[in-house]
Amino acid sequence: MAAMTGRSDVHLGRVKRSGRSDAPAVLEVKELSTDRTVSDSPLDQVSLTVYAGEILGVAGVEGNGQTALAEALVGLTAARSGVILLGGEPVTDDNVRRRRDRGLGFVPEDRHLQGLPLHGSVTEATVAGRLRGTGRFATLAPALSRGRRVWAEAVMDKYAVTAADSSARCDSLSGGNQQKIVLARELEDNPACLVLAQPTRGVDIGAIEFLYGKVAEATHRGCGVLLVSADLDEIFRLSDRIVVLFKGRVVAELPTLTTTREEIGRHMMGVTA
Amino acid sequence: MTTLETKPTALPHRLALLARPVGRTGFAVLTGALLAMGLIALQGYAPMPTMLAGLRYALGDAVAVSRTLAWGLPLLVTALGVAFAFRAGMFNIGAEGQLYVGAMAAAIVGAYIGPLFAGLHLLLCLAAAALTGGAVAAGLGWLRAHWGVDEVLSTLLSNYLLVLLCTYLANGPLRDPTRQSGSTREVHDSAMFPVIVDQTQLTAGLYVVAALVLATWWLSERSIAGYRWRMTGSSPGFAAAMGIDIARARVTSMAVSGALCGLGGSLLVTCSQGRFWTEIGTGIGWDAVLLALVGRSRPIGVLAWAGVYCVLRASARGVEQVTGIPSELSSVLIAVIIVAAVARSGAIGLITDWARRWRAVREKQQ
Repeated sequence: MAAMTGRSDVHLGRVKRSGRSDAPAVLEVKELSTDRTVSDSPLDQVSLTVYAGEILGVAGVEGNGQTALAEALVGLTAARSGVILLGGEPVTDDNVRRRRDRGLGFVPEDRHLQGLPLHGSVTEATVAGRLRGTGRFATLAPALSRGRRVWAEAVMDKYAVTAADSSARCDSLSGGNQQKIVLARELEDNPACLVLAQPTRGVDIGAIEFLYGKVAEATHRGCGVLLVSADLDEIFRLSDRIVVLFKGRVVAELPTLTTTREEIGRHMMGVTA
Repeated sequence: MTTLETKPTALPHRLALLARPVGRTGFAVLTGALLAMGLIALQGYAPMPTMLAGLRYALGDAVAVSRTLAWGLPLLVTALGVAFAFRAGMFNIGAEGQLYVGAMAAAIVGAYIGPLFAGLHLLLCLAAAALTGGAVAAGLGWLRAHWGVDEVLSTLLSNYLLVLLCTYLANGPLRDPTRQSGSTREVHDSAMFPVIVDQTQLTAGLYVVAALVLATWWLSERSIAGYRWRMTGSSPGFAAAMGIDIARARVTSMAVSGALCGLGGSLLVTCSQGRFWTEIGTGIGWDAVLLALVGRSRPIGVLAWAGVYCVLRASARGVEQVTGIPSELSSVLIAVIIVAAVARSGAIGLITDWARRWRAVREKQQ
C-alpha cells in the first residue's frame, strides 16, 4: 500500500464510523496470564483496555495467544493471575454465563465448533442468548416457542440470512450465512463489549461488507469491540487502535491511523520484543 | 423489529418429513421379515403360515396385545432412559445395572414398608427406584463431568458391580428364607399395580408409562432444559461458549437417564414379578441400548422401535410354540433389523446402481 500510493498514512476502504474520545472503558484487562494450552501460547501479563464505541484490533501471527486471550476473556479458559473488569466490575472468577449476563458478547473463531450447533436448526442457534436468561423454574417451559421462532425469522430477515426458514439446519448454510447468524445472535443481545474473533474467516466478500456494517452499527450504540484477526486488512479497516501479541505478550499498542503495515509486521515478527 | 407473516407449513411437507423415518423403519422390518421367512423355510416349515401364527400370538386378540404390551413396558421406559442420556452426549450403557438397582429398591420398599394405602405405596416404590437408579448414574456422570472418567467405561463396568451387588443381596441378607432360589421377599399387595386386562400381566402401570413417555419427550425435545442437554450433546463447544453449564448438563442428564432405567426395573417388580430375583431383568438393559441406538435417541423413534421389538419377541415365542424353531430366532432377527436400519441408505444405493447398470446393458444389446 505504501509503495502503491507513496504515502503511508492512507488506509483504503476504512469502514466509516463515528468515534468518541471521552468514552468510558467497557473492558479492562490487567496483567492477565493463563496456563499453557496445547494449541496456543499462554498469556503473559497481558494488559489492555477497550473503550465504549471503539474497536481495538489484536494483531499477531496465529498461535501467539489470540485464542487464549479470547477464551480467557469469555471465561472458557481460567486465568492464572490478573484481573478482568467488565464495565468496571471484576469478572475474573465468573463463569461464561455470568460474564455474558454482564454484557459480554462473543463471536468465536471457529463457528463450526463453538459458534453454532452445526446439526441444529437456525432457531436453535439464534435463541441461545434469549434462553440464557430464563430462571431455574422456567426450564420446563418450551424452548423454541412460537414467539421465539417468529423472533428468529425476524432476525434472519434483519441480517439477510439466506435459508429456507428458521428450521433449516445450520450445516446446510454457506459460511457467510452461518457467520451472519452468529453475529446476529451476539449483537441482538446488545452487548456492552464484544469479543470478535476471526469474524470473516471463510466468508464471501458480500457477506464480509455486511458483517462490517453491522459491527460498525454496534459501535455507534456504544458497544466496545475487541477484534482478534489474522487478517491485517481487516484490522486496518476496522480498528481504532491496534495491539500486537507476540508469544502471549502485548509488544505494541498503536493508533491505526498513524501506523503502517510494516510497523505492525515488525512487531508481529517479534523484532521489537 | 420487522413484522413477519408466518407461513403455515404445508401438509405435503409434513408428510414428507414423516415419510423418511417410516420408510427407514419399513425397510428394516421388511428385511427382517424376509430373513425370518428364509430361516423358517430352512427349518422345513411353511414360512407364511408360520409367521402369521407367530403374529397371531403377538397381536391376535385383546389378550395377546395386552400380553405383548405388558412385556414391553419396562423395556420401553429403560430404552427411553438410555436415549435420554445419548441425546445429551452421555453414552450411558449402564442401563442393566441401573435397572437392577431400581428393581431392588422397589422390591425392598414394597416388601419391608407397608402395607400402605395402595397409591402411596406404589409411589414410594417408584420413587425409591428412580432415586437409586438416578443417584448411581448421576455419580458416574459427575465423574465424567469433573474428573474426565470416560462414561462408556464407567457405566459398562458399573453393570457388573451393581448386578452382582443385587445378586448378593438377594442371596444373602435379603433372601426370602421360604424359597430356594435367590429372591427377596414378596412385596405387599399394595405395592403391585392392579391388572387392567384379565389373564394378562397388563396393569395400570401402562398409564404411568404413557405419562413417562410424554414427560420424557417434552423434557428432552421441547423444554429449555432439553435444549441445554441437546446442545451439550451435539455441540459441546457451542454450548460452553453460550454459557450453558456443560458439567451440570452432563450430571443432570445422567440423573434423569438413570432414574428412568431404575423406573424400568421397578416396573418389573410392581407390574409382574412381585419380588426381586437374580434373573429378573437379564438383557433388558442391553436391549434398551439397542433400541436407543436404532431409534436415534429420539423418544418417538424409541417408542416406535420398542413396539416393533415387542411384536417380534412375542411372534418368535408364538413361532416356537407351533414349530420347533427356538425363540432365539428373534435375537437373530433383531440383529439383522439393526444392520438393515443402519445399512439402509447404502443398500438402496446399491440396488438402484445395479438397476441402472442392468438397464444400460440391455439398451446396448438392443
